[in-house]
Amino acid sequence: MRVLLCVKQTFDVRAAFDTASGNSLKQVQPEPIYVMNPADRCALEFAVQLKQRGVATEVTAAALGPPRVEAVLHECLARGVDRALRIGTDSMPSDPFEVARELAALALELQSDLILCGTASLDENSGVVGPAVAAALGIPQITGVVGAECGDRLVKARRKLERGAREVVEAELPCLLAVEPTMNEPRYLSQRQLWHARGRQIETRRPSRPVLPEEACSAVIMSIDTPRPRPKWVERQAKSMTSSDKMRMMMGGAKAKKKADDFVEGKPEVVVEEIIKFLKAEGVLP
Amino acid sequence: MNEPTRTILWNVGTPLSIVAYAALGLSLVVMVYGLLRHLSYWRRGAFSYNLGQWPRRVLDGVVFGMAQTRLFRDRGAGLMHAGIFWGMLGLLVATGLVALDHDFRLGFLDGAAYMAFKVMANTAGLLLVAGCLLALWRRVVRPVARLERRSRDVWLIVLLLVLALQGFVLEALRILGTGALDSEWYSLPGWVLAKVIAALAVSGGGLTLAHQILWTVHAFTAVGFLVLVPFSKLVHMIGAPAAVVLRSYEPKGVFRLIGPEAAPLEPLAAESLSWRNRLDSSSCTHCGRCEVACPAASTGKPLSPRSLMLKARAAVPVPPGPSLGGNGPGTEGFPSPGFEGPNMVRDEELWSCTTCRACLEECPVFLEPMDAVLAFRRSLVDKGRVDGTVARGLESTFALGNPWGYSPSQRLDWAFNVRTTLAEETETGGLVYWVGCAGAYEPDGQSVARSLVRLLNAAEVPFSVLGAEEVCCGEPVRRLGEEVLFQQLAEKNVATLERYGAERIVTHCPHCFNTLKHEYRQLGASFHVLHHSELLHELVATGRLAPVRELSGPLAYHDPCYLGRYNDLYDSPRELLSAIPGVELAPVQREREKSFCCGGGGGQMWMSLSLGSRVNYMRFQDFKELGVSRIATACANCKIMMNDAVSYEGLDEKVKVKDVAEWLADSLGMGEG
Repeated sequence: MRVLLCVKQTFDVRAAFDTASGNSLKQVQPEPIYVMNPADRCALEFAVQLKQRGVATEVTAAALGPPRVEAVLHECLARGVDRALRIGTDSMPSDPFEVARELAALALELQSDLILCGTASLDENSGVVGPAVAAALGIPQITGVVGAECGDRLVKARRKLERGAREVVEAELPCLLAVEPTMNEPRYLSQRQLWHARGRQIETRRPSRPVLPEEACSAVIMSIDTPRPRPKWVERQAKSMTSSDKMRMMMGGAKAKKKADDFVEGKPEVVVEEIIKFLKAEGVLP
Repeated sequence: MNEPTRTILWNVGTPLSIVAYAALGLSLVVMVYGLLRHLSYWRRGAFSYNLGQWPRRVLDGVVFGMAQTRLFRDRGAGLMHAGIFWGMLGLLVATGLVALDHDFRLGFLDGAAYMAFKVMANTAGLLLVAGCLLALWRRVVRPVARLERRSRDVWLIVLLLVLALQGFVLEALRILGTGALDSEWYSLPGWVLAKVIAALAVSGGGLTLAHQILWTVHAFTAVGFLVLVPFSKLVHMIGAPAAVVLRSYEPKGVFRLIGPEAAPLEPLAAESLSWRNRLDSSSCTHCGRCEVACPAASTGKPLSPRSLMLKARAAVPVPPGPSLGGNGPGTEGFPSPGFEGPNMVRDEELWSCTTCRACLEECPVFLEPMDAVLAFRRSLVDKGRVDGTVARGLESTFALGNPWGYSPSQRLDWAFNVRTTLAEETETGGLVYWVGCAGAYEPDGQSVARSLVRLLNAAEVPFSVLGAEEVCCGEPVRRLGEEVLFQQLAEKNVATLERYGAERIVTHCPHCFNTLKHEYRQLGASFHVLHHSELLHELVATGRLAPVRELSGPLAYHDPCYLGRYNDLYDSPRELLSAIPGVELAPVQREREKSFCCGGGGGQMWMSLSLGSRVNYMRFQDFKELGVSRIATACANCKIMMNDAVSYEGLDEKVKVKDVAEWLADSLGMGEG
């Protein structure tokens, strides 16, 4: 089975953005910080697993963009894909339909049986590219994938619906799967492994059609606003949590409830003392 | 017969002596073969550090190898080992002299020389007996807690004891047999025994036969002993002196630099171990001092520095069959796929280490279990075998320059209400305040940074900060085993600091301090780095800061591992605290070199291991016992961990944990409350 893996280099959204800039994404950093789209990394992990299990015979990774995009292709090679190619453009294409057109042309050329990509990208989040590629090729698409099994002719995928519901969909190959960033936990890639893959070639090619000027794009970002931050009311951190868990909770934006008088935490001895005091105060204990 | 001397090999006929010499020769061959196997194992290990400074090494050999000063930290152990060591050494010299006299026909053992020889040999024998008896006492009668209960250890001591006692009985029989009972009083133990045997009226024929039999038994016991040396813990007789004399003279906090060209290792591959790690594994006698001091072992984690040494030794192939080295069937590497067993190194063991250095501090012969932990960690990280939380910490350090996952642009948010200057806005040179990641992003650390800045401004010390140009110093990354990422971060920081011509760097974090001062030298930089307690102490001592407000009452200081054991900085924080009016430094149970880790180092902040109990809770007990309401730390990690322990105990209102800078700021009326 030939697999085409579509990856995108996005801004790292953990690094702060300048949101006053209207309709373009600009980071407030000395240098821009890029990262492989997390959903695409899950697709990459899935593709490599298919290769290791012998289900996939060849995995090709492709990305569109300027030369800086080679960093994510480099990571793909270090993780074990067979081929990596960059469809070179001067700047990051902003029209998802354009991107889809290029990838569909590539898939046709490579005769890919399975096309993997992320459901949506971290920065623009349109979610359009996957379905557009499938539509252009006239193949089935399954989006929101959180688990999948691939055979020679069929793929069975679990889709994420709201509130934890899951749906199982079966499709015939060739097929496109757009995966969620929660599909799997990609193994850590050490810098040493990355360094040792630096000799591997990344092919470059031109886009099949000239890139359209921005005015002619079919989809344009009108404005970007930051939402008013909504406080998340969660339990105060349990004292028995590890420091790293507490840290993560804090970083996730958790705010503590006002300390209620009847809510006690701490060592078992401390808690028991408080419970006894409470029960005595309530007249339950003498 | 009045001339003091004796016939060497009296009563041992030629056939018997030929057999004995042949057995001796064979045993020496086996012993040398066994030792060479260890040596080849050591030599196949990776490069670790350069040797040199030979005069200092010779001195160390004398102080630590012969006088064994570190062993005497436990007096009973020191005496026991001194007895066995000097006894064996004396007997070895005696045997050598006999060989020279007899086999090399130098024939000098007569007269006064012979008497001196006998006194020396007998004293050695008595020392050996005393040492063995004391050792048996410590293992069998009043077992010392940290020693393992292994019968093979007892049998080894019994073997030595038997050898010594055989020697004395043989001497007695020989004295009787050669009619030296009236003259050889100077061979005191043998002479006394001879008197006893004479009193029991053993006749001539029985005596010579007994002597021959015992002589044969003794010869073969000695042969057995020699053969055992390389295949049991007796190999420490070679390994331990080597470990002492070949120890690293690098600064303590510098870990091995392994460039990116070195290929990624397989997890737990034997190739991870350096020649030093391998030498260590051969030299460990399982005394257990490391385990007693280890915070992970003390809190029920699967890590024991001692057993890691044991497991590392399993990679030396041992002959099939039972071995007193006791490591089961020979295995190369840990583990071979599918190998399960007590010698398997488990991932959790390696991740439990806090890199506190207590094991290195305690080991009498300078072995380094912690280095083996790090060597293995590197092999796990190389192939990505890490937990999700560790992976996230490493990944965000790579992408964002800090392990917490915050934006680089937020690096100066902590300074919102204090006056700081950016390095790019000053002229080159001067003092740079290296804030560190905890200081920049973590609330407990941020308040330390603000206090320090207020103090520096009050003392009118000009300094600058790097702001968003600062990236993680790389210390936790290196301790987790991501060596290449560390080097990338270090190179970036060195370039930034050199670009600004930083003359002096001050930091409040001992981890950053250690890394900037010592580890960045491996990349060619050489910065003059101060810990903030040193700088503040200097300012107070020269009157530029005058603490006025009283903080009366006991205050306990917790020695951070990276300031204390790693950099021998115990005094300036204490002197700084003592300069605050009213402060009485409380006597903390485990302090200075014996300080018990807070549990936050070695990358522990990013692990979610829930094995055993918490190291910081255990450490907090030391302070709880004192009943102090004030604890001082000199490290952001320690402060976070101690605060966590205080919360857990429900003592938030009663006990305050603050950095030394914060206590000082309080005393100058500029604290945060």
